[in-house]
Parts: sequence; C-alpha cells; structure tokens
Amino acid sequence: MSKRQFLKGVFFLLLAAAALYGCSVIAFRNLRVLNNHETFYDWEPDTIDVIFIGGSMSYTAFSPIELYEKHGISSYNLGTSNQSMLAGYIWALEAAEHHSYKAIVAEAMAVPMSHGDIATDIRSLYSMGINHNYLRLAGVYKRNFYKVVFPVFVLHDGWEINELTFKSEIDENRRYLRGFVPLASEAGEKYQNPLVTGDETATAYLKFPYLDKLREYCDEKGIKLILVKSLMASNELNRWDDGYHNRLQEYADQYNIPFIDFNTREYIEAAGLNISTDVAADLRHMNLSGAEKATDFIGKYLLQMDNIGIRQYENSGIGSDVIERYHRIIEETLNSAE
Amino acid sequence: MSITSFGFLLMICAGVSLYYILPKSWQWVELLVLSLIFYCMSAAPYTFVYILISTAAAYISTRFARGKGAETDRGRKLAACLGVGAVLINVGLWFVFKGKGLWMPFFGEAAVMPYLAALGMGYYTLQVIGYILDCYWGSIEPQKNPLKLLLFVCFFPQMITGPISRYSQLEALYEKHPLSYENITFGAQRILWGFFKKLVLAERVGAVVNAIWEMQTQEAVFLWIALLLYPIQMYADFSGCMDIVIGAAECFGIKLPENFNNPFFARSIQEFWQRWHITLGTWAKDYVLYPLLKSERMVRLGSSAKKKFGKRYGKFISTALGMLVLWLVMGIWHGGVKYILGVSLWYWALLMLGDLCAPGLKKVTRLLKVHEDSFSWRLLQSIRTYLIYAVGAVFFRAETVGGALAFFKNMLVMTVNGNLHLENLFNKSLLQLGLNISDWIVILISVLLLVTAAVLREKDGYARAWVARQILPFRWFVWLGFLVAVVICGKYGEQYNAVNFIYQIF
Amino acid sequence: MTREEVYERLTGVFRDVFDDESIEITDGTTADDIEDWDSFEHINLVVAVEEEFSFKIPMGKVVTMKNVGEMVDIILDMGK
Repeated sequence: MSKRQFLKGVFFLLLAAAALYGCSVIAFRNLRVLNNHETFYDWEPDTIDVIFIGGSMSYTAFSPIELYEKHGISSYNLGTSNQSMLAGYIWALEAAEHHSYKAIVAEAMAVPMSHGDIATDIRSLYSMGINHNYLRLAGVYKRNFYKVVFPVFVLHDGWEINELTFKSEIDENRRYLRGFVPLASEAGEKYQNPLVTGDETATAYLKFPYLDKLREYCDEKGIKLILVKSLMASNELNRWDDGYHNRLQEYADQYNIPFIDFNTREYIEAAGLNISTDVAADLRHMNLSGAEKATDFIGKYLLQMDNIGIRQYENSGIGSDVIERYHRIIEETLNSAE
Repeated sequence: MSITSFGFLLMICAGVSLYYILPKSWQWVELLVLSLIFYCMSAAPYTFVYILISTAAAYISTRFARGKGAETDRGRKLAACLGVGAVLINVGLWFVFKGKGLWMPFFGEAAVMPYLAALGMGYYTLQVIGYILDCYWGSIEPQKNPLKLLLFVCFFPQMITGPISRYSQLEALYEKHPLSYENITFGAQRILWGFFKKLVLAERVGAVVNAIWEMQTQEAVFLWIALLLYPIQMYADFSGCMDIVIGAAECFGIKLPENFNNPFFARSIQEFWQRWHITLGTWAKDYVLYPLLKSERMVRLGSSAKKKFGKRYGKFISTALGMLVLWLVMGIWHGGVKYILGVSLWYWALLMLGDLCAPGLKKVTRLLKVHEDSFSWRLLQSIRTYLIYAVGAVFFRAETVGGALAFFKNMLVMTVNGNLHLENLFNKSLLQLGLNISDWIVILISVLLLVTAAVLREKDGYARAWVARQILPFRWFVWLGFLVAVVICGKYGEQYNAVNFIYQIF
Repeated sequence: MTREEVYERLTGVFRDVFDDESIEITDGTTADDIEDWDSFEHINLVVAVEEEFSFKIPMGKVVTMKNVGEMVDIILDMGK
C-alpha cells in the first residue's frame, strides 16, 4: 500500500466520522423528546441559585417562576423524562459551570434508577450538546461508547426515525416555564390515602451510586442537597412505599440530608396538600395546584435553612414580562383542560 | 454474533489490522483463531465438536486414500470404506441436526431440542463432503495439516451462511497476503453495500410482509402484496448477507465465490438457478447429479429407456430422474418437509414441463416472430422468473406446508370471489402495516438503486467497478451516502430485533 | 488410436447427443460454441463418450475439461 493510498484511506475515515457526527448533531438537536433545556443556556450566567433535577415527577411538581414570585428565589427545573440519577448528576455538573447555584433539589424517583438505559440517558442530556459533561456517558456505557459519541445510532433504540425526527421543534413557551410542565387534570375523589403509612419495619434494598457522587460533589462545592419525593396517588406504575421511604430516609439521616417526602401524612399536612385534587389523572404526577403548593413549601423550606446564600429578588433575569407570559401559559393550560 | 452487529465490524477491523502486521506465514493461523472466536460468540462452544468430527472424518479418510496404504488392492477397498464412512458421518450428523424437520415429526419434539442447534452445519457439511469427494476423485491433493483443513471447514465469514466453496477455490487461505489497498477498500465497500441491502431494504420489506402474514385479512390485495414483496426481502436479505461475508473475506485477501448474479434477470428457470444461490446449485450438480448420471445403473437405465421410448423420451426419462434426485437433495438440504414442496417439486416439475414443451414453444415464438433479444421480451421473461420464484418462496415464509397452501387458497379464493379490494392500494391502508410514507419511499429508492447496480453489473462486471472509475468526489459521495443511509435508515438498535438472516437456519 | 480417429468417432457422438448433423468440432471448441451444451448436457455428453470409447472418465476430469481438445487428450490418455 502506497503512502498516498494510506493517506486517502485515513482521510476518508475522517470524512466518514464527520458525516456521522454531522448526522448526530442534526438528529441530536431535534430529537423528539418532551423536555428541551436549550433555554437554560439563554439565562444570564450566575443568576440561578437553585436547580431541580429528576424525572417527570420533578418537572411537574416544581415551578421556578412560581418560586420566584412567591419567595424571590431564582431557580431552574432541569428535570427530563425518565431522568436517571446519572443523567441528573451530569446536569448538576453542567449547571454548575454556568451558575454557582446554592441548592439542588433532587426528586427521589430518579434515585433507584442509578443509570437508565443509554437511549434514555442520551435523551435526558441532549440539550447539553455533545460537550465534555455529556461525554461522561461514554465512560459509563463503555461498550456502547459509539452510541454516545454518535447519538444518531441511539435513534434506533426504541424510537423509529420518522419525518418528525429532523424537524426543529423548540417550544417557545419553555423559556417562560423554566423547565416546568403544568398538568391540569385531577386524580379524583377515590384517592385519599398517602402512600407512606409510617410502617417503620418496611425496607427496600437500594443502592445509590450516583446519589453518592452527587452528595460528594455538593459537599465539595458547598451546595445544599435536598431530597424530595413528589406526591403520588397510586404506586402501581411507579413504586413508592414505606420500604423505599425508609431506605431513603435512612440514607438521608446518615448523611444529614433533608428528605421531604410529600407522601407522608406529616408533609401532606404541612404543605396543605390533597391527594384527590393535587395529583393529575395519571395518578403519578402532581398537577398545577399540587405544584403550587409543593413549590411554595420548598421555597419556605429553603429560606429557613441557614447560611445557604440564596439571593432573594436579586439578579434573576426574571422580568415582569416573563412572569406575565408564564401566567398566560398557565391559564391556557387550565382552559384547555376543560 | 450477528454479522450486522457492531461487534462483528469491530472484529473485522481488529482482525484486519493484526493480519497485515503478523508475519505472513501466520496469517492463516489468525484466520483460524478468528473463526474460533466467532464461533464461540455465535453458538454454544461445545457444539464445535461436530465440526471437529466432520473435519476429522475428512482428514483421516482422505489422507489414507491418497497415501501409501491405499496402493494395494486391500488398501483401496479400505480407502473406499473410509471415504464412504466419512461422507456418511457428515450426512448423518447433518440429518440428525439440520434434517430434524424430516425425522422429528415421527419421533416427537421431546427434550432433544436444546442439543440440536448446530450452527452452519448445512453449509460446512457440504464443503467437507465436496472436499472428500474431490480428494477421492483426484482433483486435489489432501491437506496434510489438520488445522489448515479445519480452517477450510470453519472459515468464519462463510461458515454460517455460505457461499459453499470448493477446496480448490480457497487455497488463498494458506497463502501470504501483502497489505493491499484494493482488498481493504473493495472489501469495505462490499460490506457497506450488504449492510444497506439488509438493514435498509430487507428489514423494511420484511416488516410489511410480516404484518400481512400476521393479520387475518379478508382482502386479497394484501396477500398479493405479500406474495410479490417477499422475493425482494429474500433477495436483499440473502444477497446482502453474501455481500457482507464476501466483503469481509476480501479484506483478508480471500476471494469467495459469488452466490448471486442478478437472479431476476434470468430468462428461464434453469438460468435462474445459475444465478440464485449459485454455489448450492453447482455443488449439487458436481457432487450429486454428475456422479449419479455417470453411474452404471443410471447409464443402463438411460439406454433401456431410450430403446423403449425412443431417443427423445428416453433421454427425458433419465434426465427427469436425475433431476428429481438433484432437486430432492437441494430441497432436503433446506431441512424441512415444506422445502421439498416449495423447492424440489415446484422447480423440478416446472423444469420438466418446460423441457417437454420447449420445442413447441420455440415453434410458437418463431411463428409470432418474437424478438427474443428485445428488452420487452426479456422483461417478460424476468417477470415470469420473478413470479415463479415468488410462488416457491411462499414455502419459505410459511411455517408449514399447510400454512403455505392455506395462503394460496385464501389468495385465490378471495380474488375469485371478488374480494380483491384494489382500493386499498390508494386509501392509505398501506400505511397501517407498520411502515409510514417515508419508509415506502426508502423502499422504492433502494429497489431502484439495486436495479441500477444490477444493470451495471450485467453490462460491466461489478457496479463497484463502475463507481471506481468515476472521479474521487463522486466515489466518496456514493460511499459516504450509503454509510449515512445505513446509519439513518437502517433498522437496527436495541429495541429492534432484526430478523436473523433468513438463510442462517440452514 | 490416432487423433484423427478419435475426432471421427467423437464428432459422431456430438452429433448424436445434440441431435445436430452439422456439428463440427476442433481442439478449441467449447461449450459456448454449441447452443445446447449446458452443464446438464455436459454430463450426458461425457456418458456418451464413455459409452463410445468404452472406458470411464474419472470424475475429477469431468468438470475441469475446458474444451474438446482436452477431452481428446483424455481419451488418448485413457486408451493407453
């Protein structure tokens, strides 16, 4: 093989890699996923003091604009569909590079999912773009690293490529929701009993490798980590019960982390929640009314914590126009539900 | 390990890199090691013992037959016994494992199933038998190194799906291969083409065909669609697989024989089988038909038939008998009773019919002054070939003979009763079969690409050679285009279970 | 046997097998030159040749013979 042929071959391979990378960037940006966090990068750096991570239970339960209006805290909800703790941890790292946030609220449903499957994790992180934090996935999914580097391969895992794949569908409203997704339906009268009954003997065997990593990171950076569990009406589809609660409580106690489980009678009363009207019809996510109460409660909780350093009503970048637009979106949501 | 998996590609890359670094006399050793690794990642390793038995039988019998011991009369008789024994061992193994469709109905499924998975046995058994017969007939010298013989038997690209090679065609396995730009690039291009055919076209068409076979439709048009689309799936699947296999071997400098040559351009059934699964046909011809027709008994039968029925019909009878045996072997090799109907009897009957009618038809075409070399006539012949194949292929798709016959019955009964419902072609029901509009467009474009490549090949040798003659940017555009097409349009991924290559089960 | 004798007898065999009295063969004649000489007729031809010259052509040679010239060589060889 002559030198020229060898160089030709190498050059072709580079072109091929570039072509794959190009496909991935196009497909990556326009993956049809529920939660696009590209607007996260639009906010002025270092204006966000609290971030929320977790799955859909997080992004339906905590509204950053609500938190700002009621308590002056600038926050952002980085929850994504089926977010695993690994993806949440990576978001935490990414967010820290743009905002020196003071507290991170992690929704506990993500915790037992230490890492999800590669397709879901890639989707959770996609709005980050293919950067150094995103590429941490390659270290975790070693054998499938090529899917991480060229996410176009992951389009085939579960989702069919169709005409929508390459459409650019950025929902403009998301910039005013700051990651929150309002739900308007109600669970109904049938659901009255909290999922956590206070049975102290129940246990669950759970390991939390990425929660450990997050905790260590927070310790190192002086960020306050708070674990929450959103209110649910039924645990048929997503398991949450005394066993899980006790295990997480044990972990939280061991490391001195606040753990707010809205499924306990204690917190239901404290936050003024009502299962039949504050949980959506799918029985697993909090609806708008529930989100208002949960956000309010978290806000109060954050403010009474010592020495966090949250700047109230300061440099948040949230102007009255944002708040107005937010309320309009909420109203539309409520109206369309009827 | 599926040959359309990322793991297989990695193995090829790593294997090729190492291959051209090793001292050249070690290259065949690497091929053997790769073959063993491939086998162990594709099947339960202990089943490799069947290959060892096959190879040992071949080695012992052929070495003895061509050695000093066989020069006496007694030696020759012993050699003959060993030879027959070796062939019988191979056939026996095959019959127990791959021929289970033939004996299991009589013995019940039982608990033997788990032991009966024998990867690639249909293919390497034929290679081994061919090797034994070639040695006994004096066409080749037996391989003295048992490991080299083992490499011939289990060479990984072709072990699972063919092509069925002759020993004389694979001497390159033991030769020294210098690093060659052509081998690697041509091989890679071929592999890419195979991926395209399998993942982009075959899987898509398969989705439609499967959907139709699963739905209990009352509308005949869907059955017709399934009938007419399945050959595309079969061709794209099987020939795509061959492309990957041949391309992989080519990267290592080994040229495997072709298994397909534009089969639907065939103008007769005879020609079709010289263009479809070529190596099976030539194997059966050389190792079954020829020895049979040359044998004493057949010759005597032929002459007595000629005496009784006249030259033409006498010849026809001996031909028919020989062909029947040939076709039964080809059908039985596929390993199930349904193949005897859909392969053996279907094609044998048509061939014999064609033979009988040939003089008559020739008169007709001459009378009508048909332009036999015109495009339109050849198109007609191609369509006829396609339809004939489509009918036989139903027996591949159906689970049982009953299933295939039911399919035909439903199709014909519904059509005759007026349940054709052609409107379904226009009212979007085609989009309910698991494919959306862009999928159908992809199928259409892919078929056009395949036809283009076929036409180029018919005129010029490989279409790849035509591409190689174009300017560099165009060539690279073509190959990068295929790469992107496979990555984007290919049906693969964790949630998607690609249908195993159809021909892997033989 | 001389080469010419072989050719004489062989031509008769060809004409008989292919049913064509006009066939002429030379050393260079191959299957491409005679219309009906396909792989199937090949074996019929071989069998007919074996009958005509009363000996068996070994299987190994059946497939490898490329043209009539080679066939004649084999016949002459076997005759010895």
